[in-house]
Amino acid sequence: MAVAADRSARTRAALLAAAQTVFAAKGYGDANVDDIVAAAGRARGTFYLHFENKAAIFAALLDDVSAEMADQARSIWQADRPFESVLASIRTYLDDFAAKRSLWRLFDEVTATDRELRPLRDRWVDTFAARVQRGIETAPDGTDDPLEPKVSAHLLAGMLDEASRQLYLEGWARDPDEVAVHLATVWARTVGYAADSESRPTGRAREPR
Amino acid sequence: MARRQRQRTERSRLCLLDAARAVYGTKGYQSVSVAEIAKRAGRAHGTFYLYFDNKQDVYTALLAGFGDQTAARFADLTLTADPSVAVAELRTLLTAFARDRDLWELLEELAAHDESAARLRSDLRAALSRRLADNVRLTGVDLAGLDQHLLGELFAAMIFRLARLGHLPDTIDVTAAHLSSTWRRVLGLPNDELDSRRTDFVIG
Repeated sequence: MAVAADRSARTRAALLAAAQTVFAAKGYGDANVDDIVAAAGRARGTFYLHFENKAAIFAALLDDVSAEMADQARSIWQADRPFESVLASIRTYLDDFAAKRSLWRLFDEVTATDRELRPLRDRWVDTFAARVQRGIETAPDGTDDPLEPKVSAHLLAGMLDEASRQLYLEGWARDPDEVAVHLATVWARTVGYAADSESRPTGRAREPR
Repeated sequence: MARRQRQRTERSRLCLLDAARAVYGTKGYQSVSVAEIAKRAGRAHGTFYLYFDNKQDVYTALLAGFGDQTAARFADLTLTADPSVAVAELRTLLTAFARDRDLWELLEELAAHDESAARLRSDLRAALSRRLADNVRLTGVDLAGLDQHLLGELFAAMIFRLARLGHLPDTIDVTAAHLSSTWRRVLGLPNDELDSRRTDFVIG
């Protein structure tokens, strides 16, 4: 049984990798299941054991990538150094986005053009924002905070994702490190982490260098 | 006589643009035909071609008008006054986004494949960024090494995202209040307005 499960997992992974290549090469619209199974070296029937159709494998690609990114972000958190943790998470997000940029470009194109896939995009946005929300809710400093974590999370996640697009899909001429520090500062001040470990944000902004 | 003719001409053109917008809303760019647009506008098929070369042309014109309007809206955005004014400004902006939802979708769809639509989108983003950077400067806070333009760009990213995807975290009122508070917190401006307005909107 373990062997069969293994083989199944490997087949699924092969199909996903093939799909990513085929989508990147042909675009989502022109790609089809036959292309994918050919690239994966598998039978057509095998595809349908794992995925219902082209849209389903595309959704699975997205889920896998976002799960990877979530895992990366989680392992960085250090409660006694919230600002540094946020900065590290943001840096990781930017790097992950850069590494998968062709997938994100594809994602944008497909969800913009194919109306049926739009719920997929909204679902992805909400999932990412929910993770950010949990991070905010378990944060040290923000208890007397009239801002709703759910709303702040959505806005901060949106800012981060949008900035990633600008850097890696739209040729924004900014140094990613400088962008990361500013993103982390906006984040930390919104949530109420001190920008440095001694003080809270005041009328005069202070930022450790 | 000539003036009336010009008015008729302008009216026909606007009618066709409105029709193109309406038809896009129901069908999406790929499926739309010139015939449908003309029919929706109550004009002869041939009349369409007096004003526009083809489908792409009418939608480019529609987006150009939308772009001008949106850029003007961004250029007016003022977040430097007291908190309730800032919230009202943001509320107005978000309301405009909702009303133009279909045009933002059209922009996203065309920008995926069309150079000039992609450029329009970048230009709009840049216009919002510039205005917000100005707003940062006008608040006069000491940024202590942070880049005023980059802060403007990041806050613009936060807002522009809402326009592009049309997916708000909550109602327009709640979202506007949070955007304003975020702005004030980031700049270290006093935010006591939010506390006094806490009971004014439903949370959760």
